[in-house]
Amino acid sequence: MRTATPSERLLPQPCDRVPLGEWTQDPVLLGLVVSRIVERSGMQVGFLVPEIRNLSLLDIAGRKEPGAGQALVLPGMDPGGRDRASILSMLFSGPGAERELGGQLAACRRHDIRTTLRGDPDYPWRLARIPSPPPVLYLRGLDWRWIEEDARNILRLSVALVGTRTPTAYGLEVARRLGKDLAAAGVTVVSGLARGIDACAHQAALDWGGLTVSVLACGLDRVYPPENAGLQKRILEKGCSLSEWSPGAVPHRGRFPARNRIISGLSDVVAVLEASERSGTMITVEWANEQGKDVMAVPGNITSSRSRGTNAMILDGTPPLTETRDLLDRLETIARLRAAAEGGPGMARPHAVRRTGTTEGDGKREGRGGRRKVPKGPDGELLRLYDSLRGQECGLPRILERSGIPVERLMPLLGGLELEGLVTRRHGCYWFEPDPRRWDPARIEALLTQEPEI
Amino acid sequence: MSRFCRIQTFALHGIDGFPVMLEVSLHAGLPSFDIVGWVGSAVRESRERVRACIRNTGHPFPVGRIVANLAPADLRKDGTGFDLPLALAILSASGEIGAMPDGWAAFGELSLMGALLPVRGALSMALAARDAGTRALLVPMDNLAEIARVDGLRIAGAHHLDQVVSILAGKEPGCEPARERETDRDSPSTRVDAASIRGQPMACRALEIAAAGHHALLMVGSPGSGKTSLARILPSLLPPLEEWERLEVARIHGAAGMPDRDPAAGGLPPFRAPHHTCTLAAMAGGGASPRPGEMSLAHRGVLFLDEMTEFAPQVLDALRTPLEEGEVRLSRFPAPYRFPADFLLVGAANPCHCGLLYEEHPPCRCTPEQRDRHWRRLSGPLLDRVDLFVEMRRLSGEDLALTLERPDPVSQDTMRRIRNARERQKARTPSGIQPAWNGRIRESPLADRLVIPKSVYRHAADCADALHLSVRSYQKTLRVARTLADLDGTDSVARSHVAEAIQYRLVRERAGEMSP
Repeated sequence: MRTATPSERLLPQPCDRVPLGEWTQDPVLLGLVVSRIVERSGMQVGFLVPEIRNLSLLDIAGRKEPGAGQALVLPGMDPGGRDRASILSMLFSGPGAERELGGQLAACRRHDIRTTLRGDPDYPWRLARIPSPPPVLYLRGLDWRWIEEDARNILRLSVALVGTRTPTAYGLEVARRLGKDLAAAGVTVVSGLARGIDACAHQAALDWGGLTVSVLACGLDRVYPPENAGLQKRILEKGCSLSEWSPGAVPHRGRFPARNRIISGLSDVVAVLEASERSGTMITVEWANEQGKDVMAVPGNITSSRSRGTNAMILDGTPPLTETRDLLDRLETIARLRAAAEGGPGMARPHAVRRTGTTEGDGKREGRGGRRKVPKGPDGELLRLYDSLRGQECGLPRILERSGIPVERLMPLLGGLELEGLVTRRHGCYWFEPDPRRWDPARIEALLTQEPEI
Repeated sequence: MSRFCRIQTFALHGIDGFPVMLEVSLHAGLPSFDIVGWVGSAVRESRERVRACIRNTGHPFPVGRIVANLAPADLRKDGTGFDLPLALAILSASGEIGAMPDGWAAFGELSLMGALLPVRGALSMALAARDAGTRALLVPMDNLAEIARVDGLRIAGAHHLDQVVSILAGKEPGCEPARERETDRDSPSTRVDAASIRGQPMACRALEIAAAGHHALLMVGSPGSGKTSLARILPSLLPPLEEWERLEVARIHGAAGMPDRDPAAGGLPPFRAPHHTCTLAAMAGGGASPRPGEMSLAHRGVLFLDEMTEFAPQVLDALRTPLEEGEVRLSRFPAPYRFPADFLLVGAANPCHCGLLYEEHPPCRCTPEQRDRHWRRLSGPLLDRVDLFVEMRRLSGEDLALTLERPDPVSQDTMRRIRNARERQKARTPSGIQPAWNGRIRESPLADRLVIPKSVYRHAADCADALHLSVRSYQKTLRVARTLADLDGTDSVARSHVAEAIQYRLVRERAGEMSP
C-alpha cells in the first residue's frame, strides 16, 4: 500500500478539483461533504442522507439560485439559529473548497479509504446505538461486513483491549494472552493503535490469526503514532481501521477522547489491562459506562502505579478479569441476551477456548513449534531457577538470592532459557514467559509442576 | 671580538624528549638580545626572565649584542626549560663562570630571583638525555622525584641558579634523586563501597569479563544504581603494570604536566574520569604545543565516561580510532604527534533522559521520542566498539539487606581468574608482538582468531538468528564468549559461554517496539 509523500498531502493536484456541479452520489464524496458540514459548522447532521444523496454540491451550497436556501431545509439539520444558506455557501464557496475536497477525494482513492454514513446499512450497528454517533465513518482495510459478520452471517463479538501507553511487563503479557485467546475464540479485538498495550493487543490478535480493528484519532491517510506504521499495515491486510476524521486530519489532542468513544462504542466489552488513575484509558471507561457497555478490569500489583486505575475500578465495583474465561463467560451471556432480545440466531458465541497457562492442557500442541528440549543444568539448579522466576518480573540480585546459584553459572542458564524462548528480559529484569509459538501450555505446566524431563 | 658558548639541553615533542643544542654568541654593538631557532612564545619570554635573573643573582648582564640559537632550527621548541641553559650560556660566554664540562646538560625554568622551577615532561627529557649519551644532567629540584627512575647518568638537582653555579664549579655535588619506596597497592575492598558492588552481581561479572578480555563496557542504569563505584574498582581488577608500562604512563603524565599524580605508583593502572563537558582537545590531546589528552592519560588503564550520553558527539567519536589503534595521532606541521592511548573504555549512562526508565517508582515520564534522542547521542560506530552492556536497576532496601550477607563478589578468586585469562590470551598470541586481548580482535575470520569450534560457531549463528542480532552484535558475542572460556580456564569455547555472552548484548528498545 502506497502512502502519500508530504508534498502530495499538502498540495492537491489541480486535476483533483471537484467541480461544484458534481453530484454527491459518489459515497466517498458524500462522506467528505458531510464531514465538512459537521467539522466546519458544528451543526448536527441527522438523517439527511437520503435527501442529500440526490443533490449536487451546487445545490448544497445553495447557489443554484439566490434564495433557494429555503428549499434546502433538510430534516435532522440543526441550523443553530443561523441562516442555513449563508453557512452552507460559506462552507462550499470558491475554488478553495473545490481544491480541498478534491485533495481529500484523491487521498481517499489513493489509500482506498471508504466512507459510511450513519443510517447506511453498512454503518457499524453498535455505533449507531451510542449517544452521539459519528455521522461519517472512514474505513480502510477489509470490508466492514466481514468484520461484523462471519461467513454464516452471524454477528461477531468484539472486545476493546485498552490500557496505558507505558505498560509494565505484566501489562504486556496480559495484552498478549488476551489478544491470543480472543483471536482463538473468534472475537474481534478493538483498540486504538496507541503505544504500549494497544499495539501489543493488536499484534497478538494478528499473530494468532484473529480479527482486529484499530480506531485512529487522525485521518486514515496517516498513522499515529508513526512507529506503529508497520503494525497498521498488517492490520489493514488482516483487519480494518476506522476513523471519524476526514483524510488530512492531524492527531489533535482533542480528538483522542472522541476517538475513545468509538473504541468503546464498537465493543461488547471493554477490558482495561493497565491504567493509571487519571489517563486516557479512564476516559474510554467513562464512555463505556455512558454507552452502557460492560467493563472489566485486570487486577494488578498494588505496588505498580500502572495498576492503580484498574485496581481502583475493581474497588468501585467493576468486575475483575482474572483470566480469559471471565471475559469469555461475559461475552457468552451478552450473546445469549442479545439473541433472546432480537429473536434469531443473531450472535456468535465465542468458540470454546482452552485455558492457557493453567491446568486444562489437553495435550494437543498449539502453535507451530515442535517438541522442545529444556536446556540442561546441574542438578536441581534449573528447577530452582524456574521457581525464582515465577510470578513477577525479577531483578538479578533477587534471582541470585532466591535460587542461590552463583552468578557465573546463572548467566549461562538465563542465556540458555532466553534462547529457548522461556525467559524474557527487559530493563535489567527477567521473567518467566514462554513464547507461545514454541511452548504449549501443557508442557509448560509439566515443566513447572514436576522435575523437568531432561 | 665575539665570545661564544654552547650548552646541551632538551626539549619536548609530544611525549618524547629530543636534544637541543643551545648556542650563545656575544658581540660588540648596540645592546640587543635575540633568540632564534623556531621558538614558541614561552621561549621568547625567556629573554626577560633570564636578564632579570642574572642581574638579581648579582652577576653583570653583558652589554652588547647577544644572539641565542636553538638547534636544530627546523623543529619547533616551546616550554620554559631553556631558561637555565640560556642563563648558564650567557654567564659562561661573558666569563662569569667557567665553561660547562663536556657531556653535561641542563634544563629548568628560572624565576626572576634565580629560583629553579620544575618543567613539564622532565622524565621524557631525562630519558632523551640518557639516550643521547649525556653524562650528567642538571635539573630543578622539584623534577627530581619524577626522573628518579632514570639511571645511567648522573642527575643533580638544584634549588637556585647560585647552587647550579657552585655545582659546576665543583664546590658541591647537588641533590641526588632518592629511590622511591614501593607503595603498597590498595586492595579493592578497602577503597570501594562494598555494598554497592555486592548488589549488582551482573555488573560485577561484566567488570570481570572486561578486565579479563579488555572489552569496552557500557553500564546503563538508574541514577544511584552504583555505576560509578563499580567503574572505580576496575583498575584494581586489572593486572599491575609492568615496569616498562609504568615508565610509559609516567612519561605521558609528565608530558601532560601532572607528574605528582603519577597513577602508576605501585603499578595500579591509571583511572581517568573526565567530566562530560570535556572538550575535544582535552579528550584527544591538543594545544599549540600538543599535550596528551584524557585518552592518553588513561593509557594502560581505564577511561571512565560517566553520563556518556551527555558528552559532545564529536568528543565521543574521537574515541573511535584510538579504540582500534591504541594511539592518538594529531596531525600538525611538520610531523604528526603520536600519543599512546591504549585504554579500557567504560561508560555509564542513564537509560533515558530522566533516568527512571527501569524504575517503577516514580515512573519515567519521557516520551518515546525523548528516549530515542537520548540514545541517538551515542553514535552507532561507537556502540559497535562496545562489547559489553549491562542494565542496572536501583537496589531496594530489601535487596540491599539480602546482598549484605553474600560474599564479596570481587574476591582473590576473581583476580586469579582474570590473571589466568590474560595469560591464556598472551599464550595464543604469536610471540614477538604485543598480546592481542580478545576485546581488540577485529580480523576475520573471527572464529579462527578466537579459536572457536565449528559446532559452537554454528550454534552462535543460530542464536543470533533467533534473537535478531546484527552481524556486529554477533561478533561481539563471539569475542565475549572467548573471554568467558578463558575465565573458565578452558581452551575450547562451549555453548554455555555463548549463552552467557548474549546476556551482555545491547537490548535497545526503540520507540514503539515492544517485542512480543
